Amino acid sequence: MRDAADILGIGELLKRKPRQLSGGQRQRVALGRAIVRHPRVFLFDEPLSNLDAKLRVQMRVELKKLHLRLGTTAIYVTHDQVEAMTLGDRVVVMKDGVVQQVGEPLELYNQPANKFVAGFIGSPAMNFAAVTVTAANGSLMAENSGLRIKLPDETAQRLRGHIGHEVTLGVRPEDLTVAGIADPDHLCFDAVIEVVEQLGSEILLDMVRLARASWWRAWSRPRG
Amino acid sequence: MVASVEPTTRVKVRDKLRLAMRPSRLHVFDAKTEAAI
Repeated sequence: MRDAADILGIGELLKRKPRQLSGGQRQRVALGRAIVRHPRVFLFDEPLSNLDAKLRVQMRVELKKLHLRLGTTAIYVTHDQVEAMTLGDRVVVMKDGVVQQVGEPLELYNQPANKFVAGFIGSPAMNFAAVTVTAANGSLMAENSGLRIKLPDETAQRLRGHIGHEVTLGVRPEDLTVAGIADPDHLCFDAVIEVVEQLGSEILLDMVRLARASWWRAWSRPRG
Repeated sequence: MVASVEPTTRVKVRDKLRLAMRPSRLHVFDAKTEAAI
């Protein structure tokens, strides 16, 4: 028990009553109760969901350290995609009890198997728009009322069988950049800023295209 | 639509901004099955 307390940094708290402990300390005690049993597998069921934001980040790091130190397999259930991305070696994304994708965190981020996974992994969530695939001058275009994007060759190859059909185009907020002179027109667009969220390390812009609002409104931002 | 831009970008509400998509980072999904294409 003393070893477990030392691992968790709660040795000085052992004589306290539960009501004398903070939320984070109680979480550590709960972990300690599990550690002393030397389990072959830990099952964490949303262990950080009732903590405030700051403590949740601290405990997330503690759990990561604990996992590295003990080396015990852990199954961690969470609705928080940041916890899934930072703590998981392999992530299983489920919807309505059905597995949507299994993979390493960056695999899910870079190659989501479907729209649900794409919208769940990543923060802010991926933007989506309904477009129709068309062919013009040997290239494939993604079109909507007012939108005409020339698809890159790699993407076009995968969409040869979808000419004339509607597909959903997805782009992550971090994959949009302020256009420079080197950016080709067919991948650029003008938009008007509606909301500015200053986060210090980045700026989030909630935007709408003014001249072609009917198309631009088609972009949706999944809300969590 | 949401864009994440560099913290040094000087912007304010109602500004017009020209954005570019990174072509290698576009995702496409089937409209009916929602599976990645």
